[in-house]
Amino acid sequence: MSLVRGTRAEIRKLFSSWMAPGIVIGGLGFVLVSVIPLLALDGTEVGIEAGVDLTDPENVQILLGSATAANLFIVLLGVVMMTTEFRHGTITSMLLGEPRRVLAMVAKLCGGVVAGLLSALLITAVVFAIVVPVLAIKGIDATLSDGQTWRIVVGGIGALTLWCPIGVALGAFIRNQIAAILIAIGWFLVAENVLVVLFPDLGRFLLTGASAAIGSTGDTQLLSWWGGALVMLAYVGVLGVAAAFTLRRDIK
Amino acid sequence: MTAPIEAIELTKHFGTNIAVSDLSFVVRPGAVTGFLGPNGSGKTTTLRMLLGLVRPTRGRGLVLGSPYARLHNPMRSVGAVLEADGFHPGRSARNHLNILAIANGIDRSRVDEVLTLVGLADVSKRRVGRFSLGMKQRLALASALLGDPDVLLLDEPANGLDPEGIRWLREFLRYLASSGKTVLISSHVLSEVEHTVDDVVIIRSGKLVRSGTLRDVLGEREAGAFVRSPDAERLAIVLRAAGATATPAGSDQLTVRGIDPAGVGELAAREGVVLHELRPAALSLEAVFFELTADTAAGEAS
Repeated sequence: MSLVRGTRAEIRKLFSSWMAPGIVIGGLGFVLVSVIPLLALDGTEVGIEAGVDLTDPENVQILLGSATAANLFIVLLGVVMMTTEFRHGTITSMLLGEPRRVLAMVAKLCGGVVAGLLSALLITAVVFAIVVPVLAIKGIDATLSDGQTWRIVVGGIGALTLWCPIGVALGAFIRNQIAAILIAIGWFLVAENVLVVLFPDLGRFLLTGASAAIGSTGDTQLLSWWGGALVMLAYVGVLGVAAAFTLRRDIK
Repeated sequence: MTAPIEAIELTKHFGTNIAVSDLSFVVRPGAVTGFLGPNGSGKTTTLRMLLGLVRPTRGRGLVLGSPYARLHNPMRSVGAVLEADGFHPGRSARNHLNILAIANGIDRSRVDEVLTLVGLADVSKRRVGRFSLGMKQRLALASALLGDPDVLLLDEPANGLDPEGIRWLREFLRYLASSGKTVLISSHVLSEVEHTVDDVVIIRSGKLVRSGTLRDVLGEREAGAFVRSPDAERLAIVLRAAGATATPAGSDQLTVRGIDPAGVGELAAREGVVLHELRPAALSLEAVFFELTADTAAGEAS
């Protein structure tokens, strides 16, 4: 019961200041910056080489699933959700309400899942609201009757959702907000991508690779979509348990 | 009846530093207990151990008979003010309380009640980042009272308050006491709590110095009197002959220990010494505190 209340409180926190909505809007903007030019320069116009061929259904599917590009923003959303508690000392009132640390951490992770899901749904909805009408105007099939499209879109929403609790767990290990943000950016934006290039066999088992596999059209470099989902869920589970143990430290 | 708050041999080491050492005390139900000690004497660490935020190295802290973490819906039975800055600066006061109400299953109407109670109703929509320290202290009290708990732990709630705020707090504590709540209030400014507390727990360097009712702790000091006489020197001789100590406190004044004012008056009348003033020597909690902690003060850093 307390878990439900704790999760509801987490959602209320998201909307009580501009921080969380700001990060999600940032992620949305980042996605749109890549979606809109692809729509505009879709390669069907004569003489433009930069675009992709939208008459290829696979490219349309990737476009509709492009919300996953916001993964760095969503992991930062999770990091901020957790580190804010330490930064402003609100962790104290959180733990006075739920002194069982493991349950408090689980509530926070659940809050992260809900926050991630809401963000993923919002970004996907906006992408659809732009892409589908534009494709209709251009007379291109939006592939909405194709099961593969929905697997990619729903998979992408699931993958994006899970980035948020991963950020929450990270924030529990690294209580300093700035340090946690820098480490998240350094690891997910730089380190993982470098590792993918250097060790492709390892790359598919890293978070970025697993996440990409969930929403992919069948990239042979990556795991299967369900393999990616399992790997990502394993990360969430392991990091979540580790975070719950970390939260047992004294709150001074 | 279960003690509302009980410390049993509470001990906390931070590395090699011993913050609290074998501290045991019991807080009476319905009483306001002052938890007193100099800065750095372990008051905050003790309160945080009682609230399950800091894990004791040894010993146990019990609230309402069980460890805080075992309480069902703790914010409804125990309220705590720990620091005035435990707020997200971007959130409004109302939102801060709303979040706590949701997390703890407390009716939302209670948010308005506590905002009115602490006098923040008019500024409830203002971001806490724009609050003065005094307003934050009031919001911290509002948070503690949200679940209408019967037991309150307040850590230096007067810190950073201006004189008006301190007066407000004093009246507020009296109101809490009159409504039958058990309050444990820590302070290093003794004059703040002297007129409010029923009991005291005095610690120094993490160790218990004295605990008991304020009356006992003050009353067990020797009786004393303050006297003014144009013939103070002769009076002093008379008093010393009767077994008292008489210390000159100015040309015509004496501070007397060992005889109460009535005794001083009788002796003076018998010896025909003129008195200009005679009153009980005020024993302040502060004076007693310094007296009690004087022994342990020597050679120990606080």
